[in-house]
Amino acid sequence: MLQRALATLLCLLGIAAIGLGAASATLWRPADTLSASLRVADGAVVTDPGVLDLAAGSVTVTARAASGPAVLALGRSADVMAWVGEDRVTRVSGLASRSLLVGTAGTGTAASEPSATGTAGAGPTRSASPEASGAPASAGASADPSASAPADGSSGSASTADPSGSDLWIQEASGTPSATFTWTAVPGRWSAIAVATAGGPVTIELTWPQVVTTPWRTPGLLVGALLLVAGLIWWGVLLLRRYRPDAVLGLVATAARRREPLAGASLPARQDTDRAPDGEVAEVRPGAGARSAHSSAAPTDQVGLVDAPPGGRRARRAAEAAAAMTGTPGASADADTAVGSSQGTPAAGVRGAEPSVGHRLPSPLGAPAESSPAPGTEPAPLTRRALREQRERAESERAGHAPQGTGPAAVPEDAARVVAPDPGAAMIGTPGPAALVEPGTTGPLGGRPDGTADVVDAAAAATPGGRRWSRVATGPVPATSPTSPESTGTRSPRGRLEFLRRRPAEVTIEPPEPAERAAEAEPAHGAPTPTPASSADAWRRAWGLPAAGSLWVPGGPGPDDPAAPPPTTPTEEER
Amino acid sequence: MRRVRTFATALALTAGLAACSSPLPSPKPDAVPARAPVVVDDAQVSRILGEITTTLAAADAARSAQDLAPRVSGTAAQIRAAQFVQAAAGAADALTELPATPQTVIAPATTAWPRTMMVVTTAPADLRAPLLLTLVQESPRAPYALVDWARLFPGVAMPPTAQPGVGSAPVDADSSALSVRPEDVLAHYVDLLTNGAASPFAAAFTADPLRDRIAQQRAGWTTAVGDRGSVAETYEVLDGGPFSMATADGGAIVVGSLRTVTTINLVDSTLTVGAQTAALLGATTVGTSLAISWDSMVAFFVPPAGSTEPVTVLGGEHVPVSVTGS
Repeated sequence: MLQRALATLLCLLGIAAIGLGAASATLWRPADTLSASLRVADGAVVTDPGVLDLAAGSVTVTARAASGPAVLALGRSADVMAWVGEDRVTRVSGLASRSLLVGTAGTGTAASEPSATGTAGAGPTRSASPEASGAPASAGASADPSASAPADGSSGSASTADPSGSDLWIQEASGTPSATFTWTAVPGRWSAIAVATAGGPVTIELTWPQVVTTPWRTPGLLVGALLLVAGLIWWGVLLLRRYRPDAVLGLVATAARRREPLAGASLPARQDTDRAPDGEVAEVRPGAGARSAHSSAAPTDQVGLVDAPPGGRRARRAAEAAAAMTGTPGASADADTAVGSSQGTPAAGVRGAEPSVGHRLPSPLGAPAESSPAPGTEPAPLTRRALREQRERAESERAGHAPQGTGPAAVPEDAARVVAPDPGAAMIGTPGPAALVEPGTTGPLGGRPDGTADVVDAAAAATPGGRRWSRVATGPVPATSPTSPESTGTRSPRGRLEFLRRRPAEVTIEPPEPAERAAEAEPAHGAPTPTPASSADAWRRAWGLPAAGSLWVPGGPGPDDPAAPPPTTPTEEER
Repeated sequence: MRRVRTFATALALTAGLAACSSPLPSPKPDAVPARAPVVVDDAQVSRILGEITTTLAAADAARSAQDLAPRVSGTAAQIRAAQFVQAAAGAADALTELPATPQTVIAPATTAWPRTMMVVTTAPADLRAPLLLTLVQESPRAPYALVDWARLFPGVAMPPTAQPGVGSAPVDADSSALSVRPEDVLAHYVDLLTNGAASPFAAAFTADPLRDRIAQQRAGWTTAVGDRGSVAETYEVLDGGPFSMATADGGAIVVGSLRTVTTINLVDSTLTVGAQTAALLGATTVGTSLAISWDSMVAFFVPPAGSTEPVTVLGGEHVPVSVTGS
């Protein structure tokens, strides 16, 4: 779980990084301009030298008057201050923030600029001469630009002198209520002056184009992509690992088969189940009763498949499961095609499912097998826990003895899962199995027609109590052998056993379905031949293996079929 | 998990920081230059000359001296006003053509006022010599006004001056960097006009057409009056000058104006005056006296101190501005 969580987290982080990287270049992309302004109650506004080009080589200056026309002009700083003379003026000395300018109120002092060197003069003037010198200044100033003359006694609030038309300006603009121009910096000391000629507040705004960089875009996207990929890969690995056991087992099995026919002896159960070729089964059986039982189990699977076709979903699943069981390789062509795709996935599902299955398993299935080798004898009164424990025990043992066992068991379940999803596949699968079944046991097939129900039925029928299994087991064995020719032999009995067990468990789950009952009747038919099961049990006992009941699976066609279907279906349910 | 969280936090922080950015830019003004920069650029010169031309055109059309303000003032305004009178009286070619297309600009480089700018115009359409216009800005809020124009004399070479982009420094009236202080130049010239070869400054000035012309006119009047009256002529320096601009070699161009008053007293005779004078006089004959005032705008090149070169008279304009008589 931790790994999954981490893998998921990686993915999320990757997505987040990508998102942030993208956002940094879009949503959060810094503005293309830096714009700062200052509002002044009255008088002129003059920018100190260096302010105009403090953020970029070109600036757009805008003057906005609260009322009346606004005049904007640009000239050499000395000229501008000289023009202002003794008038009230606010000098802009820089940025207070990214949107505000710093202004210092005061009066200009003609010709002081050169010596004052800009900023220095501002401080003193500020407090000193707002009104005292302001009034016379405006009066005196008004002489020249006769226009602004009205210089009232009211400090500076009277209309401000109009700078427009002066020969001092390099650039000039006026408008109502705002004026604007753009200036490209040239060497020198330059200032802009903004005036509301009618008096009153004036706002000056400086806007600089900004070179926008998005340094986080590429790294963000890259890192994000890497994280995401890493996360996905991790997930992939996790998923693969889940399935791996099955897959591995399947491969091993096939390999084993191909290499040595002998393998069949050692690992019959699995392959039997998987392939359940009649012929093989037959062979196996002869070797050992137990085996035959296993093999019979395999057939059941197939049977299940067969049944499935009619049933639909379940049937499919069953079929698929069977296919999965069979292991991609061996299974009948039909089944393979159908199941093939499913196999991979199933494995994973199976694993996870196993435990749950255990719980679900009706006492009959698990109990009989484990508790007493002879399914028939023992009903399945065990509680879930008991079942679980038994199973675990058994598994651990198997693991010890034959690790393969667990693997295969898992496989079937997975297969079942996988298959389930594809209806089409199921269809395909079915035909195959059906064919298989037919040869083995006609009876079961007939029963299956009911469809999914068959499987369930089988389970139900088979397990009236724990006995069901025993019965089935016995019955099926013979039947199975015919049905599933492919499988049998190859693998070790242990593996098979396990397989069988689980299936039964699954089967039990299925029973819930109503359709099954109909099937039950059929299964009943199949059920008859328990013998093989007993032999299987004996074998198991010999090996110290638990679930005998499941073994029946391989059993003859009639009973097998019913039994078989259940296993597949259960897997589905689990999922 | 903690590690993951930390990482996520760091990522978020960096992304957040990316949104914000660099510190606030602060002004980095150029240093105040040791030498005052030129205060008018080409565009400004063009604009100023355009303004003057416009004003002149309007005033000329209206024959209105009042319309000359504020772009034409000083001696130039007085002369133009007189020309308006002459023109109104029907005198042809009374108005001096004042082209406004600059050939050479002697731009001021200063931070003080008044500021002087000189412009050598292109040759006017009448193929007369170019003019040296003198423009002055009295105060920061005042416009540049044409105060003087002097027609460059033929064969006179303008002293080299600084590039317009660099600008030329103004020269104080009492500057001792010149062989003659600007404020003394006109006085010396007046003395020369008055005393002729007897003047101690006779050698201080090169010969010039203006002085010759004034002498010729005086001689002409003297001849015309003969023994039936007397002719006296006085010279004085007019206010409003001088205007000086440094040249590249350390000398200066000094522009000033002077007034010449020719007074004629008649004894038992009458004098018939020419059309130009008559226009100003309002009559064609006078029986007792006649006073003619001439305003002269003169441009000098004053060599730097230590130079033994004489002051060169670059150009001048000699125009009658008023005539009274009876």
